[in-house]
Amino acid sequence: MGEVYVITSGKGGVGKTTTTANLGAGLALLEKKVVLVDADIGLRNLDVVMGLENRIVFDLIDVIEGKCRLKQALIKDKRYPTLHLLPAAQTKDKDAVTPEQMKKLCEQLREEFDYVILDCPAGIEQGFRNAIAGADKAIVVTTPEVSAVRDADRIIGLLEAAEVSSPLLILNRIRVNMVKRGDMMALEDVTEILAIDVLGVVPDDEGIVIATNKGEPCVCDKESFAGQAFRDICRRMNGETVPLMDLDIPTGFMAKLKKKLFNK
Amino acid sequence: MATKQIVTLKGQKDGISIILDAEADFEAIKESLRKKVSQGKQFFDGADTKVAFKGRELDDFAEKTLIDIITEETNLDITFVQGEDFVTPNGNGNANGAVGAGEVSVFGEDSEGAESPAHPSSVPRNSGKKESLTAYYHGGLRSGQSIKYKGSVVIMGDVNPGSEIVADGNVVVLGALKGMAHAGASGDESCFVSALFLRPTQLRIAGLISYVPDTAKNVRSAAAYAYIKDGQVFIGPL
Repeated sequence: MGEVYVITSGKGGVGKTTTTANLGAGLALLEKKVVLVDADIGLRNLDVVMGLENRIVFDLIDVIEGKCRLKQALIKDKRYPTLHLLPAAQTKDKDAVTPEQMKKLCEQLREEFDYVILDCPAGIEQGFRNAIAGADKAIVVTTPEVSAVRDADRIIGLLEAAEVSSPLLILNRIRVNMVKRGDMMALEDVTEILAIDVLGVVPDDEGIVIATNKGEPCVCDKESFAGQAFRDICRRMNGETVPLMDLDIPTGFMAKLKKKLFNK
Repeated sequence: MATKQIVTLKGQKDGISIILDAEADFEAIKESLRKKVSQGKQFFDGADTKVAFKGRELDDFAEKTLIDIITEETNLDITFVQGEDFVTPNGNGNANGAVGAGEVSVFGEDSEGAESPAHPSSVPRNSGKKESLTAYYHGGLRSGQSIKYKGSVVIMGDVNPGSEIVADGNVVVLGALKGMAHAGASGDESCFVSALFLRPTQLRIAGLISYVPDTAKNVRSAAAYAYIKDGQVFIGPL
């Protein structure tokens, strides 16, 4: 029986979809059977980030409406044989699904896979309720910004009310040099407010933008610091104890590199 | 000369009904129609452009002949010809039902065919076959929008990624096709998809699904059309 994770944040644009794609690829690298479910119906992105958009024939709504079998809708990733994607429908909206149906779907998926990872839409409405319905665990993604943290706090409250057990935190897009200058919230500042366990810290990385646009998760990029951070997170999800990576060195190096390149 | 009218013209709310005698000789009908329309030029002025023939079955050629007579004698521009068999709206669960909630209606409000969804069987003038319905959509399709039609679809605008066109007939995009297009959705393998810039996310014709491989570099992105040959989808220049 696999575990069902939901990746959520409340606020949009903090990196839910990127995180989902990278965790999926990272867990597949650890030879786990993973299925990523795009719960963002009507605004699907996960397929694009994964570079699988052109493979879509059936989607989540087709499965729920019984127009196809679950297996038919699952897209096998072209790079990782154990990674699968269940895409969202683009021409429907969130009301096309009910939480009960999502729950049923997750139950079906967990029979087959080690990890079921749901990419939750931004917001706290129907789409959010659908996405968390079938999840046993939640990963809250936030960036070190006051507004994102505020929304994450609200989401944690809603998750607790919905009895999704103790959510884990991923702090995304942190820039250590800014933290040092006191211009950005540090991990400690965020955990002080949110008071949940930290699953990982991901540095801000240009590589993410490039990888996302190419449709290739950066987790497989050995050079990428963000990729390293995601690999660590995957190992932690897998039960290993991995210390938080020392962001000071990479960012220091990046800063140096930037200085060299841009002569700042 | 028989007093029986072999051709009767009737003005309808949304067009003109032309009732033809079922028995009379076609030449006589032609003559009679020519006389009627030339006499009744005023009748045609300001009349709508939808014409329905009733009372007699017409093949394509006969229908065209009669339409030519009308256009010769008047300055009427006929947009739609309605066949006898199809007068009932919603018949056969046609286009009307195919355009569902949340989908872009196949006809814009100001388009010529604005009334057509109520008369799904309106046949555009000069169409090759009686059953080749065509929906014209003026404007682009954005992500999440879809057009479904029980006939061919012509889009005047760009079709963006994330949008879809599903047509039982052909798909013609007068713009860039970057979304998903499905021609011959009910199984007709002779259907094609054409676009001024052909770069669809995915292309389907009848039961075949194809997409541009990720490794492809020199993809034809000029005006092209896709068709089925020997059970495979091919793309050729226009």
